[in-house]
Amino acid sequence: MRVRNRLTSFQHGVLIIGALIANGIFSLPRVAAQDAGRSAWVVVAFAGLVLLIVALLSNRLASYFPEEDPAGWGLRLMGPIVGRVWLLLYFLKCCFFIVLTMRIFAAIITNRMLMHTPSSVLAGIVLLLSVLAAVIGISGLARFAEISFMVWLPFMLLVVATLLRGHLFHLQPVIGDTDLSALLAGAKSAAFSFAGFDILLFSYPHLEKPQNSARAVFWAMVFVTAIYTLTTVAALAFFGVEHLTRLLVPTLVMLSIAETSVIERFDSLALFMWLGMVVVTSGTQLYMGTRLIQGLIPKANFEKTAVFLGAFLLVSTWGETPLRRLITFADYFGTFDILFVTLSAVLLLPLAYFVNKRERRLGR
Amino acid sequence: MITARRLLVLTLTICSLLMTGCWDALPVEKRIFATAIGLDWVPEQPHLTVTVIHPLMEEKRARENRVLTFRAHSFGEALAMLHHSSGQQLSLGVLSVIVIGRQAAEQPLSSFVNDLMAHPDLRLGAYVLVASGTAQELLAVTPPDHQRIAVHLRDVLHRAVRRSDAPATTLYDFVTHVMTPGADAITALLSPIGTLEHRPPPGQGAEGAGGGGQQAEGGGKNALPSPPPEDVQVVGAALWQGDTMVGELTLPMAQHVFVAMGIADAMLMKVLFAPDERFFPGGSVMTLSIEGARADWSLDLAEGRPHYTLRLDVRLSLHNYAGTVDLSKQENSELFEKIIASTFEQNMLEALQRLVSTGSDALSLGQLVRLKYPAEWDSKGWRDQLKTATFDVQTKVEIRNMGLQLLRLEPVDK
Repeated sequence: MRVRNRLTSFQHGVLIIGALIANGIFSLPRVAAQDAGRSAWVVVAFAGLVLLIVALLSNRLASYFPEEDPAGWGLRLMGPIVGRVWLLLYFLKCCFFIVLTMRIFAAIITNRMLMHTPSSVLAGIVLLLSVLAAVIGISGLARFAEISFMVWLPFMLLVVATLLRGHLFHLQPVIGDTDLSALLAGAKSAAFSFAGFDILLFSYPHLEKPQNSARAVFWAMVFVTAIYTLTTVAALAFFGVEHLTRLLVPTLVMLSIAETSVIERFDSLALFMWLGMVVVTSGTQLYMGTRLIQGLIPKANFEKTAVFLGAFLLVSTWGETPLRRLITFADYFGTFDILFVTLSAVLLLPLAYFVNKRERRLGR
Repeated sequence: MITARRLLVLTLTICSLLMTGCWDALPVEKRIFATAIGLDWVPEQPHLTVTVIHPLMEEKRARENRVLTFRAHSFGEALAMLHHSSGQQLSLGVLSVIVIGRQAAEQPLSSFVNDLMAHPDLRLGAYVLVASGTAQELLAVTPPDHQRIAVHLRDVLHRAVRRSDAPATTLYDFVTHVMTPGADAITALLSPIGTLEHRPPPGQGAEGAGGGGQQAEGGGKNALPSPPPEDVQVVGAALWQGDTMVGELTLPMAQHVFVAMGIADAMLMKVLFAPDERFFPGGSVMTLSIEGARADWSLDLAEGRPHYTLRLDVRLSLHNYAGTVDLSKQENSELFEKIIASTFEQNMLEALQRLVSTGSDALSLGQLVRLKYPAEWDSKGWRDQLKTATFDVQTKVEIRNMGLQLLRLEPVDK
């Protein structure tokens, strides 16, 4: 039985949420607070709103090509040379994204839970599951994202619940003890956690009701921004800025404090359940990477390409890299990712408008 | 066919995921699940004495082996010694309490906290408390039958929380207060009694050195028999300045500080009133049940000297009013409320002055300066500035419940 390759608006939204939320949420409060101090949650909300606009612009860009994804319209829009360079850069971005996602997740687990397990094994498992999820296609990814989302949501509510144990003075003044340049630097750092929403460019052609896409994108981005903001508020109120900036993964530490009479250590369970969200993120990037190869090599078979790409990336799982170094590298990579996606949306949108207008005039 | 192959791959993946635990598999007999850690300081090198309570040994009731003690230069070194001597791996995942001996608490504890927080398997919800003597003594107390000392200490703190005798300071809360400028930690101060020689002299009761223990005497012939002694009791609160303990409060003083912090709901307070023939003919100690306390702090800074005004709104019930005045009459109850408010103000001022004289900012008063006078805020010089702080307390008391009877129940005409 073939999987029906059509997405509902809900699946579209959840796929975007799944692509956005992965490892970034673990370190986001610290990353934002290092620059913006007590105003960290404000800059997270601000970054979310700015990227909401970028996401809506991307959605508009995708709407000009309702039957194709960037692998199809990339060359048509930018020509064979610039188009191929763009596709290649995009592909490399996806590869780095996958490697970082699985390596950081594996490093977090080996740091906190399975200290003697080689992180390459865990990274390999994430990669293998991502290949499996991507091979099924966009609808398979979306359904996997739905399940992961439902499993993960209660754990995030636990993080927000810790807000009740915090002190409000840690959050005050809301703005005032940090200068504008620090706030902007904080917003830039926080923006990295929003990387991944460009999956909407690839899922748009598979929508049952493309006219509802903007609404799904809007709510997905608002939801993620709200979760990120609340997590940052909770972490700030709970630890205070001095303690928070010294914790590598503060969100996970907050989870470790949540205890019940049945389950004493929620962080271990949450970390295990988190695998689903990580697989959705790396799976979407693998899907995009595979489609981009198809854009560069039109005759390439999707499933075989996805498996080949997965096997190629398996090499990168080898060896142990300290978590701190990985996170530092992720910060640099995040700048490139967000810049690439934002510039692509802003520059290609007017181009798409004129190309679309011209093609319509020519009756194509 | 394709589906079957995918299912096979998926099954293999899940199996391999579950089997990753094999690398980290460690038989339970190779682990030490510490439920309590004690830290003491001795003047001779190496300074630290680390005590670890081992529950598996505890179950065997082999008392001589229950407490593991190591002398070391640092906590990390003590853990390494434990690992080498026993061949077992320490797990702090079920840690209940961290007991810091008084002398150890008076030394800077940053390195201890760092070593502790570096442990990958640490329960951050463990309570931090200070032993009035040594941690070893406190942890060596024989708990009631069928109880473990760590769980028992945690229970004692829980009871104290319910009575609001002492805040149960968790490790993460402690560390946050240690690190935050303009906010310091306050932890429970416990003492062993009953089974050791540290039982307080008769008359002081379980409430420690404050005025609380005098109620039995003040009650005269109506005094109740004193409760059975607890083997561990809360005797007050330890005050910290950063990572060092700088002073302590008696239990009555600590209770007033908790009222000032606005965390005294459902607290029972024994209050010593000035002699008053009309209201307190039989004795001047009364138990008040605080049902709600709202503390509103404001600050003025004049020539770098902070002046705090505390407006307290206290709603309380009388627990053992033994006077003959009819409190149902408005003029009487209003007068009584004023007497209570005035006593509260005096006690509160005394407790606050004692608190700031130690240089500890357990009330997070520095945060008020940081927020209201950001230009004047000097986080490094705050501990000296705090000592110059003055206070004004304005209390409004509302008696919610005077009891079912208006007057004393006693034999009539016989």
